[in-house]
Amino acid sequence: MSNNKTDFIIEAKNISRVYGGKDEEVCKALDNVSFTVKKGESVAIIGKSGSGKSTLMHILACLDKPSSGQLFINGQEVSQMSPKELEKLRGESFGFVFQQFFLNPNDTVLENVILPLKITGQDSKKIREEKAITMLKEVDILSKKNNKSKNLSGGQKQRVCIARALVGNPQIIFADEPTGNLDSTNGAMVEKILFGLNKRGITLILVTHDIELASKCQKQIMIKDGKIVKSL
Amino acid sequence: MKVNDIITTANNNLFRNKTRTILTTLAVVIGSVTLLVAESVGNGFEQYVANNLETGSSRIFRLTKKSADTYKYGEITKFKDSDKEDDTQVFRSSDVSYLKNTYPSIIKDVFYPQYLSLASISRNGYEKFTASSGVIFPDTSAKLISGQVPKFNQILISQEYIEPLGFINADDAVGKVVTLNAWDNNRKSSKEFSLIVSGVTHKSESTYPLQVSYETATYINQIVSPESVNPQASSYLQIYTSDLSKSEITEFKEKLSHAGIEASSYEDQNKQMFQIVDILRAIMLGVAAISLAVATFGIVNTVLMGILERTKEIGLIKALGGSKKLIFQLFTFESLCIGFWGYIISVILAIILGFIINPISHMTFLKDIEEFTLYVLTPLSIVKIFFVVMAVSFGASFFPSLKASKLDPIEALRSE
Repeated sequence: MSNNKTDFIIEAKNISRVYGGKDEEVCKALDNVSFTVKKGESVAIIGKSGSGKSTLMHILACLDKPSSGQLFINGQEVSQMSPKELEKLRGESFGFVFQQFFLNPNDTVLENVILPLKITGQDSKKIREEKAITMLKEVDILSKKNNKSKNLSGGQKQRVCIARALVGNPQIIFADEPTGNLDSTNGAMVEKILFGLNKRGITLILVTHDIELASKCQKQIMIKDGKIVKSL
Repeated sequence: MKVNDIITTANNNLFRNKTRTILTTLAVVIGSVTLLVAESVGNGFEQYVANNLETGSSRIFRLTKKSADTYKYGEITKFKDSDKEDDTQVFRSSDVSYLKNTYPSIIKDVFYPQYLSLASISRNGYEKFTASSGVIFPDTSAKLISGQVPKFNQILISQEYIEPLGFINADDAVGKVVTLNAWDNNRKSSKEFSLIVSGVTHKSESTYPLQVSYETATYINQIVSPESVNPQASSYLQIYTSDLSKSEITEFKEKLSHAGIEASSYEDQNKQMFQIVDILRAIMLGVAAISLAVATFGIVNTVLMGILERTKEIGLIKALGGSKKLIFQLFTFESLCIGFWGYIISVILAIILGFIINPISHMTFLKDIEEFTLYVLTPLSIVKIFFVVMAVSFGASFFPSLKASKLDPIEALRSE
């Protein structure tokens, strides 16, 4: 296992992702994409729908595998890692914020936030609860901790979602259109929370088609037809 | 995920769709209760047969000649003149010496069967009661309430005689003298014999209420019916063997078979009874299995619906680092929880049923067979069927859970 000392938390080298093949028409969702992300950086992946930005995020988050090319997370090549190591990586080093939230509607806010800790099987019941409460405080929604998540507003849901992403103390947060389903007030609040986290050293990968939101990130990667057209 | 987290999560997931869970559990309950009832009734039959077995010695064999004509109902065969001289159908004294000489180490003794023709049994100062007696051999494993197997001039009585003969209880009867009246040969008059009660047996449908030793029976017959003690011919003989192993018995039986003689012990006859019980039990379990199979489809359906409803959740768990194994376990445990709770309810119902079935059966169709408990639910049966139900629950959820575990998180989380 290579464990090169590196400043790059993410290093993508010539990544391509091809769908189909055989009898189907071949579709190149990603074409030879290369870039690097430094520790603590905030990066926006911008593109229209169908541009390949979601595919790129899935690959970066190790939910999908590239057809060719290499991806290094913390200097370690992902394709060399076992499924178990990948699960551990996702569970303990990544946090996810989704546009559709994906909260379990009938569970309470607290239960939703505890879920990642439960999955990775870390900590006792008491410590899990303490950690979750700390995170709920941070996103300012502690008062709703015993409410069922289906009874929350969109903005509240997204804050719970962020608390859930944070509870495992991740190195990287992947946010897929985090403000996409929110009004401008709530959107601004979520933005503030996310960039606040980034300032504390958590790497932020933001997938969006909102140029204004993207411009607030330190780095922008613009994708079109599976290729990087502009990288700032 | 820790195991207790998996179990509690799986159990909580059951409450998400209460109606569906209740209906599936109901199917499991019906299946399990049927299985428990079938098993309990089977136990009842088995217990009844076991309690009423012909208690006999494993060292006593009844011999018959293979070529003996046994009359079959509705079947008349031509009488052949040669039959009267035919020694291949009955045992004569030559057969007795043949057996003794051929198997000196195996056969200890050969007996002509002794039947007692009893008029009555009584006790000084008490009324006479009708009686019938069989012969019991010394090493017979009789189920005794009190006392022991009779020796010469002793008698073993069944518990139903305790009260009529004025004994306080079984222990009181042992050692007391009773009088047996045996018919003479032409049943015109009877002779009295005084015997000491050696022990008391349970009431049984299949053995004689009174039993005496072979010596006692021979002694009585010598007085009342001397010609029956050493008959010219007998359609069967009894032999008392040395202690033989199973393989020795098989070998011995085979040798006799070649000589045209069939040997069967009490155990052989009992085996047939148990075979009948086993067949009965198999039929009932078969019916129960069908109802459990229906429950299986209920579980399959519930798990499949659960997976369909929770596709996004499965995707989320996988994205957050949950393994295939975890998803598989979550759904499997869900099914096991249905099986578990369903079975707990079933056992409670099955216990309650016992309090209903047995009194009713004794009031109606089992009125005359007091000692037949129709429904016997044993802890062993409860444990045995528990494993069956859990195995069925696991089996039912296996493929749906496997399907769930293979869901691609990206597909599962894709917005519609």
